[in-house]
This record gives sequence, structure tokens and C-alpha cells, in this order.
Amino acid sequence: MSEINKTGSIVCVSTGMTLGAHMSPICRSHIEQADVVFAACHPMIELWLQEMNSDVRSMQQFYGEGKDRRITYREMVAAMMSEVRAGKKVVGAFYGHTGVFAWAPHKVIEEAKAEGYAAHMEPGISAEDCLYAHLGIDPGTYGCQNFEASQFMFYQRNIDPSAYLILWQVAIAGDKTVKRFSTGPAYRQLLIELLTEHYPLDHKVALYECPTLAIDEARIDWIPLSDFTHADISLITTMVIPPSKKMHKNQQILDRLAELDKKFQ
Amino acid sequence: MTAIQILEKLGANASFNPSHLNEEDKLGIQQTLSDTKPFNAIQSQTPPDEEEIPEQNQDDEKNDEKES
Ligand SMILES: C[S@@+](CC[C@H](N)C(=O)[O-])C[C@H]1O[C@@H](n2cnc3c(N)ncnc32)[C@H](O)[C@@H]1O
Repeated sequence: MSEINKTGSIVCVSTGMTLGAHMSPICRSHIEQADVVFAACHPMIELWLQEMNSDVRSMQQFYGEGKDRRITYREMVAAMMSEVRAGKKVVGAFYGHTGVFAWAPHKVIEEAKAEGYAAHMEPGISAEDCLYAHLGIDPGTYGCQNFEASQFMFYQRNIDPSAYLILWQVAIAGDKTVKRFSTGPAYRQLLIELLTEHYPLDHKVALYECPTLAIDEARIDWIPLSDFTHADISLITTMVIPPSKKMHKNQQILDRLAELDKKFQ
Repeated sequence: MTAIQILEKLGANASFNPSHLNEEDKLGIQQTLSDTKPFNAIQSQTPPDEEEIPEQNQDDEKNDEKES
């Protein structure tokens, strides 16, 4: 990594999920003090950011139906980097936790550091954090696995059905083109097929949506897995799958621990 | 207060209740919301394989074939 000796800088900050409720003081301070803020958030959150800084540029313009999203993400990085190279104090404000299931914030920090600019990330409250509160589940009870739905389909993953499984971006599950804003029932059916290796069709799963505005309620719809094919979902829907199996004791390790206990009591 | 300032207060202040909103405030929030553009929440993508990312935006068929 090259030495930090240039004037430009980038901080990727987290806005949290709900307007007004989740942004940390340090994220707010970075936004207020930035020369320019690039935003990838709900438009209402972007309006909120405009009250903190007079130069907020939305990155929603980089998306387009039929446009490869990898290009979109690269354009985000390029837009932020060009201002960093111009010597500006740049902030990338991404909704939720800026570094959770988001490519551009990690990439821009990596690029900026490689070119010798100061760059770091400020954590925040993600959809996952909110769902633990709203659904009343604790990832520590049985363990918890997180996958992007398409990745879960494209690659052979070993999942543990005795732990929670959270699937992100289910609305575009199975989108090999990397261009769609939604896939559809046939793709969801294939995802269900994959899941039935571990979960019965009547297994209850939650479709979760955290509110962006404090005047709205969280969406928590418990449906049988089989109903997912035609369920009403959007780009913000997250699927939460509770365990279908009990945890099995690892007797071998338990026996060895018992031996250790005898030795070290 | 602007609609956004009201929403900020609702999010941040435990004693500021949505039921305290008057009709004008509610209308202002609805209006602001209906003026906003659609939100694309997708920010991460696992490509089906490790192929090169295309150089620029190509809405054409050629790219479709390459990806699938
Ligand atoms: C690109 S990821 C971004 C996640 C975000 N950085 C975070 O910290 O939560 C997009 C996915 O996050 C989840 N997500 C986004 N907004 C959500 C919301 N309001 N409620 C529940 N899940 C949400 C959905 O699974 C969506 O497809």
C-alpha cells in the first residue's frame, strides 16, 4: 500500500435503514464536513442527506433496466474516485451498513488506498440488524448464515439447516444476466427446489422489509416455503428461514472435553 | 418544518408520535414521497462465473448471449 500523502480522501458511511433513527454521529459528521457526498440510498434518505450537505449526488442514475449492474457499480466507484483524485473530501453514503452486501464501497476504499489516499468505512445498522429486532430472533441461539440468493443458486453451498438462513436480494434470485430488476416465478421455483433439499415445502419462512420511514411498519409475512413462488416481493425483501432441524451433539468433542475437564479441574 | 425534518424527528425522538401529525404534515410527507424516483436497492452481485466485466454499458443482444 502506498503512503497516505495526497489531499483527497474517501469515507464510506452508513445511513442505516430508517430515516432519522439509525445514522451514527460520526457518519453524520463525515457527511456534514464532506466537499461532496455520493448517495446510494432510498430517495427519501437522499433528501435527508441534502439537509446535511449542499452537494449530494445521487448514484441512482447509474442503474438501468437491461444494464449490467457490474458496470453500474464500476461507474459509482469511478464517480467517487474522480473527486478523490481532484483533492476533494469525498463521502460515499450507502443505506443500511455501507459494507454489507454492497460492492462499490469496499471497492472504492481499496482503490483509493492503493493510490495513496486516506480511505475508510464507518459501520452502521443493516437490514440484518433490524430483522433481529423486528422478528425477535437472536443469531446466537442456533447460529445464522447469510447468502445472496443468486450466489446460493449458482454455487454449491453447504448450509446448516439447524441454523437460521437469511437470503438477500431474493427478488433477483437466479439472475445470471446481472441486468434484471426482478426474475420471476420460474426462478423462484428453482430456488424453492434447492431449498427443499433441507426444508419441507410447508416450512414457514419470513418475508421481511424494514421501514425506511418511521411512519411505516415493518413487513413480516410468514408464509409456507411453497408460497414463495407467487409471493409479493420487491428489491428490498429479505427472506428469513428458521431452522428445520435440531442441533446434533458432537459427542466426540464432548467426550474429549470431559477428559480435559478431568485433567484441568 | 419540512416533511424530511418531520420524518427525521419521528425517527429520532421517542416521544414524537406519528399520531401527533396534523393533516398538513401528513399531506406534505405524502407529497414528498410521491415526488421521489424509484429506488434500486440492489448493490451486490455474484456473477455466475469469473468472467470479465464488460467494458461499457451494452444493451445489445451480444452481451446477453455472453452473460448467459
Ligand atoms: C445490496 S443489499 C444492501 C444491504 C444493505 N447494505 C444493508 O446494510 O442492509 C440489498 C438487499 O438488502 C436487503 N434489504 C434492503 N433494504 C431492505 C429493507 N428495507 N428491509 C429488509 N431488507 C432489506 C434485501 O435483501 C435487498 O435485496
